[in-house]
Amino acid sequence: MDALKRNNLVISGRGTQPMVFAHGFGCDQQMWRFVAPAFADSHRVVLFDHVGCGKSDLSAYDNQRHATLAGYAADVVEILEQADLSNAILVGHSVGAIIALLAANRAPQRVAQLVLLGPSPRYLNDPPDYFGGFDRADIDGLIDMMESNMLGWTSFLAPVVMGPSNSPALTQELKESFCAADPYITRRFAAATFLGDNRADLALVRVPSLIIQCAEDAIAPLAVAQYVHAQLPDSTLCVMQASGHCPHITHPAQTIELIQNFLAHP
Amino acid sequence: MTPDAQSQVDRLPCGWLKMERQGAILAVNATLCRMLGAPVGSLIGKHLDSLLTRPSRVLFQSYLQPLLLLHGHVEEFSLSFQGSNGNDLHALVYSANAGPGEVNRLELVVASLRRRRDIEEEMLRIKRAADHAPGMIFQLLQRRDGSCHFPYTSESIRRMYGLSSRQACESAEPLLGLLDAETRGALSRSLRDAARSDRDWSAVFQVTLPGSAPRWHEAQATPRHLADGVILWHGHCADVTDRRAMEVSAADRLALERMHEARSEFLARVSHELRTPLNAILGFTQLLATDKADNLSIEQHERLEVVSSSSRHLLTLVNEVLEVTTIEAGQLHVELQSFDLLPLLERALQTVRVLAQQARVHLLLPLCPAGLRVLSNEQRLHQVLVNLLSNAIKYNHPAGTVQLAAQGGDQEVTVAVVDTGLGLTTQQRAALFQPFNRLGAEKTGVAGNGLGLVITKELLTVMGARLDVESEPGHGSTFSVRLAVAAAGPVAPADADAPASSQAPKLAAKLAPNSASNAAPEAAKQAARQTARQAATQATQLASGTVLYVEDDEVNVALMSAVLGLRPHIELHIANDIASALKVATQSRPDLLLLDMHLPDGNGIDLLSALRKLPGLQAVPAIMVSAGAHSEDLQLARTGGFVSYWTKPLDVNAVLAALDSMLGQTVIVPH
Repeated sequence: MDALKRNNLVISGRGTQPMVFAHGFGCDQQMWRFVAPAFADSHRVVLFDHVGCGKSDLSAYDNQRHATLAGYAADVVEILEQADLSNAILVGHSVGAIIALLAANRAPQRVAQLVLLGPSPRYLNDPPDYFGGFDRADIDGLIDMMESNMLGWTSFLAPVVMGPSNSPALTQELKESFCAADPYITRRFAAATFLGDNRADLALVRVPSLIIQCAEDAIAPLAVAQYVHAQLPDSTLCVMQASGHCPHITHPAQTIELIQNFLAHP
Repeated sequence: MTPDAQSQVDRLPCGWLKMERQGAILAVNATLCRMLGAPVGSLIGKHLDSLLTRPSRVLFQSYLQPLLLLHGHVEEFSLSFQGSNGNDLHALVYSANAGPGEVNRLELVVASLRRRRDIEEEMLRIKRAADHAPGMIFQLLQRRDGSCHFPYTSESIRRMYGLSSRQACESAEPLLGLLDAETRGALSRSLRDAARSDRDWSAVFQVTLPGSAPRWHEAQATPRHLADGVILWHGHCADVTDRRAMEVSAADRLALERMHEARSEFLARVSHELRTPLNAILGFTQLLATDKADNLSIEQHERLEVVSSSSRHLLTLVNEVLEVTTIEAGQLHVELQSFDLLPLLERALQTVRVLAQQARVHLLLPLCPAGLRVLSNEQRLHQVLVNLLSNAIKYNHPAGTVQLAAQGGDQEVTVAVVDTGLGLTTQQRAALFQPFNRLGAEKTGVAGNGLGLVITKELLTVMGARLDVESEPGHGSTFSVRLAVAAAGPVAPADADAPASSQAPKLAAKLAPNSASNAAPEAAKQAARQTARQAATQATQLASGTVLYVEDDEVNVALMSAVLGLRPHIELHIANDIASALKVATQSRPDLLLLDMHLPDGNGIDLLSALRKLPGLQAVPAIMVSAGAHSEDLQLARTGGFVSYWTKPLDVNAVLAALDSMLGQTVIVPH
């Protein structure tokens, strides 16, 4: 299996140390559009799509392998091995952060540092000691909404992402990037993401890590980031005075600065 | 925002808001406030996130917001807002960058959707039903040029064909490529035929996915003819591999059962057929030994004894095979009675006493609380105990002991047959109940055929009892029979089913002048022998009169003639079938009827009722003579008016004794 083709690997940049960006749930490598270019001069920028997202090879989706995040992490390890990347910085957003973390545990010899944006090892509450932010009913509601909405199980109910002024070429690109996600896979990816529990993997991390967290995040609450920080052996927690779950989209400049600082003074 | 502009947006029939690209709300219109049940102005400064339900927040964060920030325009996005009183507001959202001069700002139009939400939910329900059903639901569109594709397939297409709905929608080729050429040709022909005659199509075919074993699929579909010769099929595919396997195994099982039945039937027939010639061999051997014994040399006597014992051995085997097949066929029915255990134990010990003496094995007194009663079948339990006792004696040391020990409990009564014999190894115990497996005894010279324990166990099962075995090589064995305790209440007569052994000698002789093989009438036989001895020595009573024997088998006739030849005062008439029997009986009124059960033109029961209608024959005693030894036959004979039932092969002495007791007159015969 060609992992580079399977995960639609795109490599750019003029540096030597690889920076591998793992996108989160719901989109693809385009999510890094505002952040990744800032590292092109200093690093080797590696972007990819998880299987079932973006332009990945849908036929590579394996019901068993991809039923848990460990399967996605195994994909990342294969990318590192087949592209022969070492001393890599893994940058992950949301579920991509957990996938990056699991990959670092599987291939510690190839990973130098971790950058985790809004990580959550478990979205479901586990009372009384753990507050993940979601009840089971919320997750079921999410899967319902996804099915009826964004991933378009029938084309007329899918959101129309192109505006009237858009050129046909752009329309095509948008369609490919945002409607390509396979609804069957996405629903299972949602289950793997939102019903998974990777808390036990945190303490196994052996590389330094940076946690970037928005002060007000409805998906991964601050308490979760503090929990992750407490569990990760060599971690730095940076809380942005911002609201939202996608600082790399909403606050790209700040995000870039935090990452650069961390890389300069690990 | 100017008051004018505000009043313009307030008048819009849909919700409206303006926000920063990070989500902080800058302005809202009155309609949105009304839709959300929030006071005007209370929403300004809040983050859009906080207005949404939790699932919608995830969607907003992970999808809508990136979409807007990357592409600046989204239409018809469905989101749920938190309502004021717990009623969530389901809405469609249209959003785009605000006009020029307002960089990094977005406008959002919110249209409430109630009708569409209902339709959506309904469609979602249908889709889920289709996707989660075990088979695949499909639409197949066939064009006139032969090209086809699946406009719709439910999600099971992944599991059943390893394809996505999208692939199948583009072309049917990837799916059809999974079929071999022959199947494909056959399916396409049957589809065409069904379409031509406009009827439903169905087919069962084999599909092989790469790297998997072939599976059987069943498809059904209904055609719909559209314009331009297009045919749209609506149908369903199901994996029927397991069902087919089940059908095949059911067919195999049926065949096996039939074979088993055929085997049982064959064995039953063979055993039955073997009894007739054995009848002749045993009968004539006995006649030779008694009749002309004086002419025989000692050597000839010994040879005759070998013939006699060999045929008895063969008869035992035949009887036991017959018994096993009867039990296996589920045709053995035993009636359970409540009876006293101790007398039965004593009788069983009595039966094997001679055998024990020959083997120099001591039979110890039975241990059994007086008055202990069990619920079982007396005759069959006797058979079981005799069998276990015989084994305990046969596989023992000289000077060894055998004891019966009974013990009553709340639930069951245990009768243990304890011996000091050779004992059994673990392997021998495992093979204990295998037919014809003698566990190595075939090399020791101890007689047996390996069926006794099989029958014993089967009999106990039929009676609802169990058999446990404890044994250690060199330390003897204990076979424990676990019987049901007799319930309190009226007690059935112990001899309800007339085990011959419990009857008076005279009746016993009448009832069971049959072979040594049948353990139950052992006492009867002894009684018969005694009677015979009396006849020979004291010669007080010898049978006389006219006997009508109806039998179609010449060998049987010859034997009976020879046996009755020993009673010169008996006149024997022979008939071969019902018709001639009636004629003979009319000509000469018989004093005793001996009727075979199976005759060329009917059965013995019918014959008897016909004979009873003849003048003077209403009360003539009748005895059924048959090779069949089933208790059902016995019952049938008794209800049919027969006073007794003789099974073949006949015990010559017992027959004579019975004749003497029925037709005997005191005559003086020189000793």
